[in-house]
Formats: sequence, C-alpha cells, structure tokens
Amino acid sequence: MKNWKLFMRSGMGVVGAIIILGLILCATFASVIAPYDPNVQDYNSILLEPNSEHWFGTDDLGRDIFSRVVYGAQISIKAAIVSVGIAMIIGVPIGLFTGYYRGFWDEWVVMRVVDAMQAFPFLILALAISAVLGAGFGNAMLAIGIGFAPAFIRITRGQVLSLRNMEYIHAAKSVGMKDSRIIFGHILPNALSPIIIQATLAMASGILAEASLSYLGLGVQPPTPSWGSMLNQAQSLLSVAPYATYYPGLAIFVVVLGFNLLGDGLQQYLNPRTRK
Amino acid sequence: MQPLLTIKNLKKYFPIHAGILNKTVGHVKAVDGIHFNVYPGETLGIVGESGCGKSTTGRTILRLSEPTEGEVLFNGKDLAKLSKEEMRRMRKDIQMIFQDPFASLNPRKTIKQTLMESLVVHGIGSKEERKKRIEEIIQVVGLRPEHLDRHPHDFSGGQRQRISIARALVVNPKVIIADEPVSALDVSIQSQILNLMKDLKKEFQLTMIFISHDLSVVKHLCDRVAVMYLGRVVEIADKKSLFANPSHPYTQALLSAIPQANKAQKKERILLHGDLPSPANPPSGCTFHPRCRFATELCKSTPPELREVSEAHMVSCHLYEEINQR
Amino acid sequence: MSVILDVRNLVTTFSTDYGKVAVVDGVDFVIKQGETLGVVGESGCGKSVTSLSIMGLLAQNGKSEGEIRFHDKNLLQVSEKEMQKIRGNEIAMIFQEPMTSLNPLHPVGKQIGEAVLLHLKVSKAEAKQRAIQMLKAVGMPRAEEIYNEYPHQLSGGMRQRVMIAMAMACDPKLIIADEPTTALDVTIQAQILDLMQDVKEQTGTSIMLITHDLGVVSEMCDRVIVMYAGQVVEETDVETLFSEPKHPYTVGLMESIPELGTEKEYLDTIPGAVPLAHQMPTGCRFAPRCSKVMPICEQKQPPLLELSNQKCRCWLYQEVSE
Repeated sequence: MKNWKLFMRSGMGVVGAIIILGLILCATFASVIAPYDPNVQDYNSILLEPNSEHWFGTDDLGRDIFSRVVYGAQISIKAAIVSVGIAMIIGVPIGLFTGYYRGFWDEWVVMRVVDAMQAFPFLILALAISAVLGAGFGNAMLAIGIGFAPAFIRITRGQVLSLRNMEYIHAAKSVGMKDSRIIFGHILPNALSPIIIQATLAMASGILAEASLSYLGLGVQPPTPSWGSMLNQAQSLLSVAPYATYYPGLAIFVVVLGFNLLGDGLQQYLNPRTRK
Repeated sequence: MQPLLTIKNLKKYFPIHAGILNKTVGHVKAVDGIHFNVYPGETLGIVGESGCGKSTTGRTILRLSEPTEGEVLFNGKDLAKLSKEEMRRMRKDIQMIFQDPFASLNPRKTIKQTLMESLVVHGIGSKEERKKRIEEIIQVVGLRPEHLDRHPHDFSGGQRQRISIARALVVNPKVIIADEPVSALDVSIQSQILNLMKDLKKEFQLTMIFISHDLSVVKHLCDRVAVMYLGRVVEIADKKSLFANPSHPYTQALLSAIPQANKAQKKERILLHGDLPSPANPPSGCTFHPRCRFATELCKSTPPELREVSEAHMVSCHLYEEINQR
Repeated sequence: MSVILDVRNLVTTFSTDYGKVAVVDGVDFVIKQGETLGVVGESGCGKSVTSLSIMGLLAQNGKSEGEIRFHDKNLLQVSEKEMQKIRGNEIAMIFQEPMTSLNPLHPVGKQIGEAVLLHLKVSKAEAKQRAIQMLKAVGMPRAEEIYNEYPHQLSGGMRQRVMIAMAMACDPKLIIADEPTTALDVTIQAQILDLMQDVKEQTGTSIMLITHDLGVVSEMCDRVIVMYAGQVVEETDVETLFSEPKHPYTVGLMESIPELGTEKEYLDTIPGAVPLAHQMPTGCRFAPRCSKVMPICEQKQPPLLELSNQKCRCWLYQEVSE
C-alpha cells in the first residue's frame, strides 16, 4: 500500500501507466471494441472521410481505420513484449556473467562487440539484421531484440560491477554459496530495478522500431493491421486521404509517450536517491 | 597443542594498473609474508591501523581474495591449494562476520531466508531440522523467533550485527573470522555485542580471529594478539604479555596513543611523526624505521625477522634488547 | 572569563514523513572565552544537529527556535548575509570527514587563501602568505609545496591538518569541531589532538568539541555536556564527570567502554537502543533503558537539576537539589 502511494506521487508515471493500461485493454478486447472486421474489404465505402459510421474513415480498400487501429494495438503490444523479451534473454545473462567474472571475455570480447553494436544508430542496426534475416514479424522482432541487447548487457553489467563488491555479496560467498546462487539469488534481484526501467523505455523504442520496420515493409506483412504498415499504405494516398495517416501516427505517438512516462515514473519510484 | 590454523608466509599483492594498455606497474603489498598459528578454542586478535593489511589477511584466509603466495593450513589441508568447489565446501568450517551490519545483509531477504540459505547451501539437516536450528540460533544471539520474518531494514545496527553473528554460527563452524565487528556501532551497543561474543566464545568453545583497530576492545576479548604494520606482523604475544610489556616501538606508540578516559592511568605519550608510508612503496629494511625513534643504520637496510624474545612473545625488531632491557 | 556563546532553550525540528520531529529539544549551554566544551553522546543524540544549528547550516527541512547568543547577536535572527560573515570568520567548523569537506578541484592552499580573502581585508599575495603560514602552524612539512597540492594527494591526517589550518586562518573566536578525529587512526588522532591543544594554547580560541569518545573528552575538554535523545542530561567539569558521574546514562556509558587499564570479564551494558525521534517516551527519555528507573520517571520528564558540582537531568537527585 505504501509502495502504491509512493508510485502515485510520481504523477506523470501514473499517466503513462493509464495509457498503457488502455493499450492493453484495447488489444485484449479488440474484437469487442472494433465495430468491423479489420481485414474485410468493403468496396462500397472506399476512402471515406471520418463519419459517424466509420469514426476514423476508411482506407483505399474500404477497411475501417478505427478497427484497424484497435487491432494494431495487439501487434504493438506483441512487438513491445517480444522484442524486449528477446533483448533481455540475450542481454541480462551476458551482463550478469561478464560483470561477475570479469576477465578476458568481458573486457576484450563482449564489451568490444557491445561497443561496436552501439556505435551504429539503433534503427540502422535493426534494419541491417532484419534485411539479412528476411521480412516478417518474427524476424523483425529478433532483429530489434538483438539490436537492444547491448543496452541490457551494459546496464546489467554495470549493476553487477557495483553489487559484486557489496559486503553482503562477500558474505554470501563466505557462507559457502555457489556462484550461480550468488548471481541469481543475490545479485540479480538487487540489480532488477534499473533493468525494469530500461525494459520499459526499450518497449517504447520497440514499438517505434516495429512500426518503422513495418513501414519499410520488413515487419508485419499485409493484411495484418500494424500501425507502421498502415502508415506505409496511407502514405501513397497522402494527397487524397490525409486522415488515413493521422490515426495510426497518433496511436504510435501516444503509446510511445505512455511507455516513456511510465519509465520515468518507475525511475523516480525505484531509485532510492529520488525516492524521498 | 596442535594449531587449528597455521598461516605460513602469506602474501597478498594487489597489482597497480596504469596506461591505456593497463600494464601492471607495481604492487600494493597489502599482506607481505606473515606467519602465525591459531590454536583451538582461542581468540587471536589482529590489530593495526588502516592500511596495515589486517582485513586483507582475514579475507585472504577465507579466499574472498586469492592469496598471492603462502600457505593456509587448516586441519592439515592447505586452503590456498583447494579447488574452488573444495574451498566452497570448506567455508562451512570457517565463517566470517563483517564490519558494517548495514551492508553485509542482503536487504531483500528476510532474516529467515538469510539464515536458511547458509544451511541449504551446505545441505545441513532436513527442512524441519533447519527450521528448528534457525529458531534456536536466533535466540542464542539474543533475538526472538518472531524477528525471523522481518527484513534487515527493520533492525538497528546492533540487532543486525547479532543477525550477522547468527548467520556465521548457524552452520556450526570451527573458526570464525570477525572483521571489525563492533567498530560501526555506538559505544553502548558495542558493549552488548562484545558481551555476546564473549558468551558465545565460552558456550561453543569458538576459535576466532578477531580483527580490530581498537586495542581496548582486543584486550577485552582476545587471548593472544598480533600487531600488524604495513602488511607484516611486528609483534605477537599472549594478551597479558603484550599489554604488560609491549616490546616493538610501534606497539608501544600505538598503546600510548589511545586516549584514556581514566586520568590516573595516563602515561607518557609517544607521538609518532609522519604518516603511514604507502604499501605500494614500503620503506627499505624495517618498514617502521622512518617513524621509529630508535632507528639505526641496520634498521634502514635489513628487514628484521620475527623472533621469540620470551615465552609466547615474538617481536620483529633488531633493537629489542637495547630498547627493552634498559 | 566572559561568555562568548550562550545557547538557550534551543529546539531544532525537522519536518519528516512522521511530521515535525524535534531532534534537539530544549538545549542550554554556554561556552566561555578560551575553554573547550565537550559535547558527548551517541549517534542520534542531537550533538551534530546542535552544531549545525549554531552555524545556520541546517538542511532545508530543519528549523531552529530559541536563542543562540554570540557576542551581542542572536544567531537565529541575523540575516543569511550577516551569517556568512560570521561563518568561517568568527566561528569556524572542522568536520569529521576532511575528504568530503575540501573541494577536490582546488589546491588546498588556495582554499585556505580563499577563506582569508573572503573575511579579512588583505591582498592576494598576503592571503597566500597567510595560508602558507597557517600550513606551517599546523605542522605541515614542505608547506610551500603542499599549498599547491590537491586534497587527494594528502593523507587523512594531513587533510585534517589542512581543515584545522583553514578553520584557524581568520583567527576565529570559536571553533566547532565535529568528531574531528573519528575518521583517523589512533596514532594520527594523537597527533591531531596534540595539534588542537597547541592551537588553543597559542590563540586562546574557544573550542566546542563534539565526540562520542570519552577518552578524547578526558584529554581535551574543560567542561562537558552529555546529550541523550536531543537533550542535555548532564553538565559538569571534566574532573567531576569522570570522578562522580551522576546521570545513569553517563555512568552506563563509562562502564560500557573496555579500558586498557582495567580488567573486566563482562562489560556493563545499557540495554535496548536510543528511542527514535518521533517515538520519544513521555517521561524521562532514558527511562526505558535505565537500571534505576522509578515510577515517576515514566510519567514526568525530569528538569535539568542544579547539583553542587554539576547539572543532571534525573529524578534520583531531586531531593539533593532541593
């Protein structure tokens, strides 16, 4: 209860949490909320401007844009969770082990690779990996996940480096614990808060990256509704139906903002220095 | 009596790195060739000022930092040569109590979890037995079983140090290394913990290495005392003998420097000049010679050996006879 | 001897999560010209907050009431600008941890010189001369070279000497030393105490020495106040303190320290721990830990009673004082 109150105090973080809750509800109850099937083409109502029947209008195939935006939330959530999940599965263990054991592998292999990967702008990196792997949602997720991994390696390793010198870690060792128990039982739980913050912020970038890759045709394939691919298709009609770009764009903006606000809020809440 | 623990020529050098290539440019000689024995049931005090290597000695025995050279014989086995896994098992028999009770307990674990874990990693007892053992040990250190479900931040410094002691005791170790266990505590709490340690010592016939900078505390608790200066033992003796006849000039200065509340016991103060030299670049010969009021040419050139000057009293000083037999 | 600092009914409160909490609660004492007053107590007794209140250096959420008379001014009522003129000039402070109280980016000599420039009307060259002179006065070898060295190049003892040099640079009337030797090793502590004693003898400045170490008190102080839970519980001269301590807390404190000269199987202890500032007992604040507790102790707070040789906040001595 006290924790909840503390989090409520972070203000904008609560706004972020509400936005994300909205997104999740939207994705879960898409079939209830959306008035139309997002993929059904209705040639009698092509390129209609927003009206009482089609709140956000229709696209060039006569599909209801509102329904597609609602269903797009599913892809966005998937994108956020899967890409960041992959990044964490790769990044956190590598960060834990290199930080705990140090030595040659840490200094001359892992960290140099991380440096090299972080030297590229993130999207270019994801684009390159994605181009190698081929188009498709799964490959896009893998590409984004790999692109994010260095950030998780770095932040986890940084935490471990400071924690491994804490006296309770020495104490754990002196009691006779195995390294694996120390790493997963004592270091990881104490390193978790910055990793969670990083994950929240990375989810925002993940959604953005998925939209970008889909926009470029490397992500979600038609006809599945994704905000990025919707933007892509609407772009060619910009002069005829500008409204078709508004709503997916706005959705991306709001959700990315939501994750960032939540990340900042968590940062304030979880960071003991700003907690008071 | 056979010693339980024998330290032979133990050294711990920390490399100093510099430059872009991280080349080793020198070593901090934190512990520089020390010898001593610890006998069953006794408490050996290791005293010295910061940077003398007393804490490193404790950590190196337990291989929390790996020794550079030397032997640590425990029950005839050289701990320095054990594999990592063998050493891990061996830690059941040698436990440590740390200085800062606020840093040495994992803030996310309840006391029960912390104590339980010690038993689990060494596979001691069944679940029921472990539970019983924990409830027993928490009372031994003066806390109550209902404290078990709380987290470290619910406790005061003195209570936390009791928990640290319980963690060390719960696996029934043969040796305990206590690294400044009371120096982070307030005076009135310090005395509670010292009394507790004295009780435990008697009750369990504990063998203990007690590391401290505070000579009065060491005198209160220990049976024998080793005085360290710049990584070496300069004097080691029976408590009585050491405090009655401090023989190394450094020990003498150290003893006289302690401010005494009781004015009647005040004696002439020997003020040491200058600061502790850097252990990265210790003085030649006897490392104490630049601050020693008796130093001669011999002291500057030749390091003295630790030698027995009377029964159970060893001193590392060329001038022992001249200084002490006037 | 004239009184230079007169603290009357000082109450310092902090607003915290638990509401307003009085960390110093009605403290009175005086410091006379040329004397060293020891302030003894354990962590949380309010001794450091008392000194910060005098210096006007409380954190944002702290507030002092009462009266702190320094010469003819009440320091609690002077403006911040005026306070700046007094700080470092007429009242100087020496902190426990010299590493964090010196600016790591400036040479130590320059930092001393700056203090001089700030308060005395001297040229830069004169300020530098003064700084070097001060460094010599605190027994620094190669003072001219050390003038240009940075704090991290000096050892803990040397840094504390620099702090003392800085505190003395403007010939203050009062030096407040908050645990000045606690972070130092015993042999270095002996050097610093020796130095402070010299300084006092040469300049005749008054010192308020805050410490938890009764040994240090015995060596350095003329008079002593013992604090517990934000209040003064005993006040006396240093001889009486050690020969006839009256307050059960003072007695307990003395008995709980292992001493080189005495042999005891067990130390006497004070059971329990200091009460938290927001959970003070209603009666005597020491009552829950006191071995001589009486019914009245738990109901009513004792006043600071005037006894023949000392003042003592304890119901045990009520008849004696009447």
